[in-house]
Amino acid sequence: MEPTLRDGDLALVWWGGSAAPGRLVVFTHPVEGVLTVKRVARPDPDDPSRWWVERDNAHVGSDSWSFGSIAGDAVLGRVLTRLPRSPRAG
Amino acid sequence: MRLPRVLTSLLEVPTVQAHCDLPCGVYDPAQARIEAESVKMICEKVAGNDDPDFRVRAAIIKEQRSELVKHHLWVLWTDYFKPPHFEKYPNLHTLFNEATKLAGASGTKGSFDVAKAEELLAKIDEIAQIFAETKQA
Repeated sequence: MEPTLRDGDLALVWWGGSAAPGRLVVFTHPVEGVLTVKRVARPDPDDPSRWWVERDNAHVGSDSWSFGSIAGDAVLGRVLTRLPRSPRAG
Repeated sequence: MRLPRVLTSLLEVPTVQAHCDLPCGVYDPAQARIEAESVKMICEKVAGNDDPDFRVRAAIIKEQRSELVKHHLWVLWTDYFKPPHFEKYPNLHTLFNEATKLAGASGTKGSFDVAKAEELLAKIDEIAQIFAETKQA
């Protein structure tokens, strides 16, 4: 999710916060089952109960273009802000 | 003192993944070959079609597929093959270099030449042959 989030960043997450286009959301990955963070692009045009999510860093990783849209109830929370990085860390 | 559940849950810091791009260890030159076959088929279809819209779409898709060929070849080159392979098959670097060039602007990206696409497929087959030998070893 670079440049928005980098490895090791701490983020403040509103658990239970809802998805909307443009928001970063934490959700259960539909294939891997792990907690995942991506940006909501839009509702899935084929099924408005689902969300299409995308990554900020086009170079690496995966998103709805590879694993499809995510179910509305897979969304667990919304990222409110990234906490400041330590000035000593990279 | 026991913290109320609401407070302890606030202090939990779960790890969230941004991508699942793990080195999964699954490699196969067939990936590059399938994309190269698409490129060849596009070149053949364009040869018998004067519709400008079709030709533009074909050009765009052919560039994307050519880029995928390069991508899949580079994954094999950098992630699968290891120094002992390059020692045993001294022409391997050159093969990858030539194959990715054939998928580039001087090859299938830059033209609708079926012969170029066939050269590309032959080059991928040479790499696939070495790949198969390393799998048996």
